[in-house]
Amino acid sequence: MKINAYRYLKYYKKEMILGPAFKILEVIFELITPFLMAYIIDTGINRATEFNDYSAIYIPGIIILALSVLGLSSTLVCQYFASIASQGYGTKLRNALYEKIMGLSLREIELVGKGNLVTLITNDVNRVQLSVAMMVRLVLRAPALIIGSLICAFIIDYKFAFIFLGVVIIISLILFFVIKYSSKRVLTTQKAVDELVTISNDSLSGIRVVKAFNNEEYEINKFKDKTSAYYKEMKKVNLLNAITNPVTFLIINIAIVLIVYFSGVSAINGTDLSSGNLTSLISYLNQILLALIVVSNLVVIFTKAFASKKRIENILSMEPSIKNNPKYKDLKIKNREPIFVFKNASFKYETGDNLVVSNLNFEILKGETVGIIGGTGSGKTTIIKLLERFFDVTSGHILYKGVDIKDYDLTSLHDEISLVNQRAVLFKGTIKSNLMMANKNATNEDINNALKDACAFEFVSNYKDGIDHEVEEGGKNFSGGQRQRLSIARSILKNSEVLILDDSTSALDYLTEKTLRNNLKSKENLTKIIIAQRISSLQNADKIIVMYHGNIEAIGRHDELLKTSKVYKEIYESQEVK
Amino acid sequence: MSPIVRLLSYIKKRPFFFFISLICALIYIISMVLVPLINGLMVDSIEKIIQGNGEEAVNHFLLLIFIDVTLIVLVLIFEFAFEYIVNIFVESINKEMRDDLFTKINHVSIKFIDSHSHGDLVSRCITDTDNVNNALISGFKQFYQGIIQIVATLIIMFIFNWILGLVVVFLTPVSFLISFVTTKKSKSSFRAQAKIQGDMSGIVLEDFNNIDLIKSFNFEDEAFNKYKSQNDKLYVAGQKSQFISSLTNPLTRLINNFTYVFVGVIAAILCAVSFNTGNYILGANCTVGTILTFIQYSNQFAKPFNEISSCLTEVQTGYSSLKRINEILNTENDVDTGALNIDNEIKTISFNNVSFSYEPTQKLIEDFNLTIHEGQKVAIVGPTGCGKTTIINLILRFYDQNSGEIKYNSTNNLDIKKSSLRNTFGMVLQDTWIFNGTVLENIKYAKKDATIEEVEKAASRANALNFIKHLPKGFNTVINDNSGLSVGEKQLICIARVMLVEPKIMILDEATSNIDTRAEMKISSAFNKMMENKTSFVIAHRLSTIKNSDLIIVMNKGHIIETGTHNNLLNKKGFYYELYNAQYSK
Repeated sequence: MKINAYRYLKYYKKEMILGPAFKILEVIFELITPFLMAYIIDTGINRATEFNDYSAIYIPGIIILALSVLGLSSTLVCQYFASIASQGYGTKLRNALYEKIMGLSLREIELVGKGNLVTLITNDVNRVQLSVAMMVRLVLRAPALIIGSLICAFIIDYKFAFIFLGVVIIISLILFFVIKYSSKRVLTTQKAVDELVTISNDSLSGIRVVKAFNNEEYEINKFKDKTSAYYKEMKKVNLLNAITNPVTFLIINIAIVLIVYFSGVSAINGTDLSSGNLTSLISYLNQILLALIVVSNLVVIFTKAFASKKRIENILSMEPSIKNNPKYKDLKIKNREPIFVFKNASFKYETGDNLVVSNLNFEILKGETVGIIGGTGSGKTTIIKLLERFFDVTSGHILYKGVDIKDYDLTSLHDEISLVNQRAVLFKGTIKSNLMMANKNATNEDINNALKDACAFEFVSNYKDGIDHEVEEGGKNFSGGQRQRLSIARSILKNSEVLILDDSTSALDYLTEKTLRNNLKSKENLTKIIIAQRISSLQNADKIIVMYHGNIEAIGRHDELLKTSKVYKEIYESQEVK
Repeated sequence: MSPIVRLLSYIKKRPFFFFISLICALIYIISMVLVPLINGLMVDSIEKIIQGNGEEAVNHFLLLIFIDVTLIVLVLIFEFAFEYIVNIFVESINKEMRDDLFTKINHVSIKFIDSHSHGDLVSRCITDTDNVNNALISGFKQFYQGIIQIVATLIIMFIFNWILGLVVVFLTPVSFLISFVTTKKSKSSFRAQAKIQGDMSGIVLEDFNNIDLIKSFNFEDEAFNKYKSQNDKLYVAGQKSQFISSLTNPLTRLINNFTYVFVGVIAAILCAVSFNTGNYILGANCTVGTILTFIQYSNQFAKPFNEISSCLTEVQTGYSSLKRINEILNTENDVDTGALNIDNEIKTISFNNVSFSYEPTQKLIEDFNLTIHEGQKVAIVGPTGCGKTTIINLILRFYDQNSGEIKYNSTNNLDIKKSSLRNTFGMVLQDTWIFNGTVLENIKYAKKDATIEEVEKAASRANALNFIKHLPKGFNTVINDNSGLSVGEKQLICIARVMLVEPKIMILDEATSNIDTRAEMKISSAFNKMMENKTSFVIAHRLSTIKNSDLIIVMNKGHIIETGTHNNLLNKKGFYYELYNAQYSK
């Protein structure tokens, strides 16, 4: 279903209509002003000199002042409506987008890219929001000023009005050309800047290598080459920037000269254009120029906004590939009954050509400890993604508690499985708020027990504020090992049936890891699935699945595998000392 | 050097640019200011034609047209020249500043680099120079040009009609004041908005990056509510700042209209009175042409004021960026006091009572004593933070010891040229370093004149040839840190890089945690080849890889607590024994 991102404007109909209406009022006042000035110059001065009556000078003056004040008030109303409509619209759009993204499946999210999504909900929404403000404030104003000024010029004298028309056309063409050329240049200069950033980043991150090889001068020269290229590029850009203003000045002033010249010519021929009218023509010309510049800015704003809008609409129109089909939920099974069964399960990403995992067949029993080992890219983490139903199998089946995992309620599934992922993520907040993510009803005692199980209690209780200790963004005020232990504690606190540790003990020292393993072992009803690089992390498992290039190379216990599995044996030997 | 002096030193190098731009600005601005005056005179001369002043008036009119067109063309040429010259002038300063900054960054001590965030240094090189650039451009274009324009307009207005001049002079600064006040107001509300936006990006970044976790905890609703409450705050702040900042234009328009009316009405009265009485009021000449001239001045006069007020922000930003740039440029270069070259084979490396710490308050390495002989394979082991990496920093003189001596043969390390010392060593670090460039460029990094055969040979000895050949363009494939090479592959390229130069002594910071075991075997075999018959230091994470070392140094908390061979140390049943058992216990 195609969704128009501007649909949320429907909540701001009043502002979207009244705002521009008030703006038009100001435009009308602005267009009347030069007429009144012409009246002052022609009639006013005449009557003052002939009848010594100055009222035809100051009364129109007062009217202009009154009109300007009225114009200002109506504009202020418009600006106010604009700020309500655009900011309110942006707020609604951001909420809708956030909710949509949260509802998408991992497949769509990985397809679009997480970084892109962040840009989308910040920069892109801001651009579209700005376009709404401009819609209210300027989209009607600028063309109305141009057309109105042209009409007024025609009313004053149609011959001169053709000069106006010429000016409008020539300046529009120039602005169009400038916009087109400079938007192309923006891309190339941006690229040149990006290259500078890349080189600086490279040298800084490798400064030890640079110095170890005595390559400082080489780096400097590389950088200087790029700044020279950038300088050259900027010379071109500046040529265009430098010519725009003078040329616009030229055209407007030549137009003024032409108007004056023709009015001089007609004076020689005996027909004349009054000085007042001449003055108002020049005022209209200035108004047209200003309005055209506004239009060219609007074109840029809207081009960007439409591109952003399209990106946003793509997301809003996406359907999550994983559909919840809550046929079953809260099923109970006994210990040592199969909780997961993989039957010929294969998976491939839509964008990829090859199967990431193929023909997986295995069982995991409730209460078992299962290890999964294999090289990078062997498909270990993919198994986890399938277990959590972040993705659905491309072919084959996965049974959860005896029913097809696709028929199991997603919320219930996620409640029953607890995942600790590789990155050991903590969120900004406190230790407590992070742990409570897993279990809203946990008491402090529950939290402390979970921390003890995860070998995290000791360092947490060293903080003065204990579990209320602050967690900075990304948990960067904790070491890698501490983060891993806290995220394990969080998952333990969830009190679920299955605990998955996806390479989440790598930063723990061997002694701590051993204690943790023993703590987990005592939880007999808990099914433990452990992915690891180190043999020592999983060699006591009831079952070890050895993955190799997306296939199961072997399944068995540690001592069995040493005999039957070539891959396992290799891994073991590389880590073991004989 | 103070920031301003620094900036002046860049400007001084380009006197030619500076004076030419000044001359161009004078010519075009004066011409520009004269145009409305001529326009007014032309209107008056049309009046004369209408009154029937015959040939003389017509000639006068044509002369004025000619002058006007000449002035317009002068503006065209010299404004263009001015703008272009200023841009080029500023861009060339920008380039030189960037080059200087980057050169400086390559010449300061590692300590300086380590104590600054890399992102911050990059932004000083790129963004801050850009800010200075913008400030200079608007400084020249708005400030310097604006002031000339204001002065020129003032002079001409007062010579021509001082009463109308006064009207313009009194009213336009009001518009300047208004735009100044609203800019200031909107700046503070923008700051409030920017803060909320910053918080929100933080939340979004955290949530989107960890969406799998949020889903697995069924935490979507709570996350959404948190976002929503921030978004509501943004609405309040954003609406306010939008409204305030949208006030500037209409308010300025209002003042312009006021000026327009007052100029028009007063001029009309002056005209009528002087016509009636035949005298100029207080010597102020006024005709219809004057009205036209002054209406145009009243439009133009406000412009430089508004532009100057809007460029003040840019100048402020530019100045604080200039200070940040200057801070880097004022940093001392890392001076090398050493003058000796290492010519002979290094027979011994000895540490005598070496102490070192990064921070004076936190002692790290104390009274470190060690002697290494040619050909020895030395391994350093110990828990994180025990000072292993620091030893490498000292050996390569990335940092200098606080006290004690490090000697190569009998020469003190501080007396040896850093470049000569570093040439002696080959180093592979745990953080692999791949820069943006081809595989070939990456490997040839240490030896630019290497032939392709040499590179291939090095790659092959590093077990890297096979996968490089499978890359889309082989050795000419452009790679960077994020280009999809695995950590293991990147490490192999780094090893090939060192293989190419055949250094006399090897230093390896063994990479482990993120490499899968099969790739690691390839790497260890490459390591072993590289270390054949060489003195080597290995910082070991996995004890299995170092059991054949000639000397194992066990460090804890900055001290050597045990030394010996693998078997020796196991028999001792000390710290090493404990470490070893924790790693391989059942």
